Amino acid sequence: MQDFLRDFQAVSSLAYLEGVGITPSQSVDSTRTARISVLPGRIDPTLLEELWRDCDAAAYGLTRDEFTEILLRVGSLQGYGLASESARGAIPSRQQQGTFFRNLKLADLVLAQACANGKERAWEHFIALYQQPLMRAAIAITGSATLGSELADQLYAELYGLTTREGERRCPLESYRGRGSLIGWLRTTLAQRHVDHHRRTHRELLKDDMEEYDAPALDPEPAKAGGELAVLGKAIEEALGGRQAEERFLLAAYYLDGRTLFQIAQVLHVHEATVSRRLRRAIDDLRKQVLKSLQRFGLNRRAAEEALGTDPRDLDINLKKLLQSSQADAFQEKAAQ
Amino acid sequence: MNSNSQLDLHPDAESLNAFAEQALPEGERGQVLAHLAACSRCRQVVYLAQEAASELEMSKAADFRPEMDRAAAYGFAAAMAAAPVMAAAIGPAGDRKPGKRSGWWSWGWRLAWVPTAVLTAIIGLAVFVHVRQVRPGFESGSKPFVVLPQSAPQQQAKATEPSPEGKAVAGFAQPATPPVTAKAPAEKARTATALAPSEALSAAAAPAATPPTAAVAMEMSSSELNEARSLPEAQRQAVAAQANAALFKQAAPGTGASSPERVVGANSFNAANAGATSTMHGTASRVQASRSVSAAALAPQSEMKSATLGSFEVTGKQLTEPTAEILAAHKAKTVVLPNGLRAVSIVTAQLHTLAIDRFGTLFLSQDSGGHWEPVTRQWSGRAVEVRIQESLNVNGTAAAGAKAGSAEGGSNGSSMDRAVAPPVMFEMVNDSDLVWVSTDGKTWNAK
Repeated sequence: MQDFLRDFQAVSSLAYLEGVGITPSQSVDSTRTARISVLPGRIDPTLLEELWRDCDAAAYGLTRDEFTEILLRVGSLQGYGLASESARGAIPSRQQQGTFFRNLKLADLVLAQACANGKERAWEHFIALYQQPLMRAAIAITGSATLGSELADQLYAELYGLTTREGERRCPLESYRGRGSLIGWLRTTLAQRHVDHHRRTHRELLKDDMEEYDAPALDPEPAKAGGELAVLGKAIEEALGGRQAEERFLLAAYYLDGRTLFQIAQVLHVHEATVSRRLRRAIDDLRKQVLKSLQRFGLNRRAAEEALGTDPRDLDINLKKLLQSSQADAFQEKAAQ
Repeated sequence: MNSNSQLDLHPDAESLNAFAEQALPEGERGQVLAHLAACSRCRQVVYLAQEAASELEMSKAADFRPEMDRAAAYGFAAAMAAAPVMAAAIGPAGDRKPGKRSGWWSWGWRLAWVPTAVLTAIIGLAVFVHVRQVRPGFESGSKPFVVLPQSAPQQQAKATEPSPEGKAVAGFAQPATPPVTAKAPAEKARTATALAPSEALSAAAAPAATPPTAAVAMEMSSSELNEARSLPEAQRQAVAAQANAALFKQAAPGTGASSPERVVGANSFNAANAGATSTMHGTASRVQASRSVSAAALAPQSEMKSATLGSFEVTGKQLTEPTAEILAAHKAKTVVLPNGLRAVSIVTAQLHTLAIDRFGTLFLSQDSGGHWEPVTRQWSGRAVEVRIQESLNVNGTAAAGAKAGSAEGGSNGSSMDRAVAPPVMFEMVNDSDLVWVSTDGKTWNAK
């Protein structure tokens, strides 16, 4: 009975999309296949045969050539997992290729790429496997069954290639490269959509609110910061700027986002006690760093310690801004490239 | 790193998911972490994705839970049966959704039930074994005659060591039926061996002869035994004599008939006990060993002359009532008279109860011990014993028998009432062995 319902749902979804004039075969960028075919490199035939059998690509309607092209494309994009740039330029050995592909979620990757290629059988598998988990994830993320189903439907439409960019249909599944699980990727994508939507609507609401209501009275101008406060602010800026990425993440997650130790531990895959210990160490180090900076700025130790007891409201610093001002340069640089 | 998939410069879903699943190489992980430290939007995405994953895991666990609840509800037996069932159920559960990869934590949840079920089974088995081990103890309380065949010879062997006299007695105890003795009586018999050699003999002989009464008599606590041992010699003799008389009275109907089921035990009654107040004639009868246990317990210092008395043949059934009598006599020792002293001799007949304290004061109760009144002194010397004079026909020979009140408490009269209703005549003996008689307990005349 469950199989029947699953098949029925899959067929219904496909029928709906075909009813509105969309077929899976049309949803994929038609030029991508040609792009893949010119990718350099070659995969060892025996390895290819093993991988073909392992991930049961034939069940998704893929041909051997399409399968090979998918592997070549993914391998070249990630340099077969080779660390150094020089190694990335070289043709990987069979062992390196095998290690790389076996570290991927190859079955998920092949399914996602087959869906992106518009394979109907792949979509049937996809819907059968991920429809319910995706709906549950969407409800969990939004906290509402209505919003959740709406979010999931939007993502389905997007995955199916309804969105176009520069005249071409785009399927987000193309960007899945198999490093994490496909369901994890779907959850993360849902979360991204939800957060982006929330931020957009939140800004709009704020704007509406500001138009509707009188602007609140401005806070009285803070008393002019003395020399000590200025020095303290500068010392804190320095100390925060010198922190490691993980420490800054811990501080931001715990103090800015108000996350629990358990939630942070889940993200970092460590124990709660480890998070607590690292957090305490980060605070201690931060305090020492601030003290050192204050002493370097001319305060004696006692005065520096007294300065640390200053009411935070007297300080004219924005911790959130400080913590988040150190934008991930790597991303910006990479984007510029 | 694909950084331009979203509105701003953020890691794409692939990188964030790979970060959350720890699938990123170290360098890229550092970049993503640095971005997360600075980007509240991506942190929020990661948190939400994690929460959704947790929800999915919880819902999976909830799907699995009904089976677990059912297994838990079955209790001990079902838990034993459920263990393999659950182990088998784990496989299909994993195979049901081949596309899903569940985390180790979900498997940990499921696998935790297997050792739980095994642990439950072990605990249940331990309780079962414990109950089985304890049950014989309870049975020995209610059925004291069930037991180890080896214990009797061992006890006999132990008993024969102290004295040649004991050897004779123990040798006399030849069980007609296979000896079956409870552990508890055997232990009590061992306790009895610590009292005195003669007692040891008696107690040891008891389980060998499988008397129904033995266990009852041996149920006396050690404090009772010690108390009885501390009694004056004459009183002990009186107690033994009373027990003897009661036994003989019960044994009388069975005299001369020797049937296979009858158990012959060692007669360890003290001749002095019998001779003190009664003369026993008749066929050679053997008193069952159990008698010796109770008698010896009451009069541990008395001499054992087993064969001199002759013997009765009595069945176990016949012995049960006298045993109750003896037991009641022991309980009667707790009678406290109005002057605060305990009765040293007490006798009851037809709702009249007479008791003497250790100073020789006689008390009469006409409501079976409910209220006591002192009897005016009408005798000389110090009254030491009160008893009932009656006819006792043993083996067709008429003999005047007197049932003496026990030093520790007299007979309760029940067996007396059951006897053929002779005219009741109370007798009182003073310290000079002079006897006074009375029919109502108030008026006494010298005999």
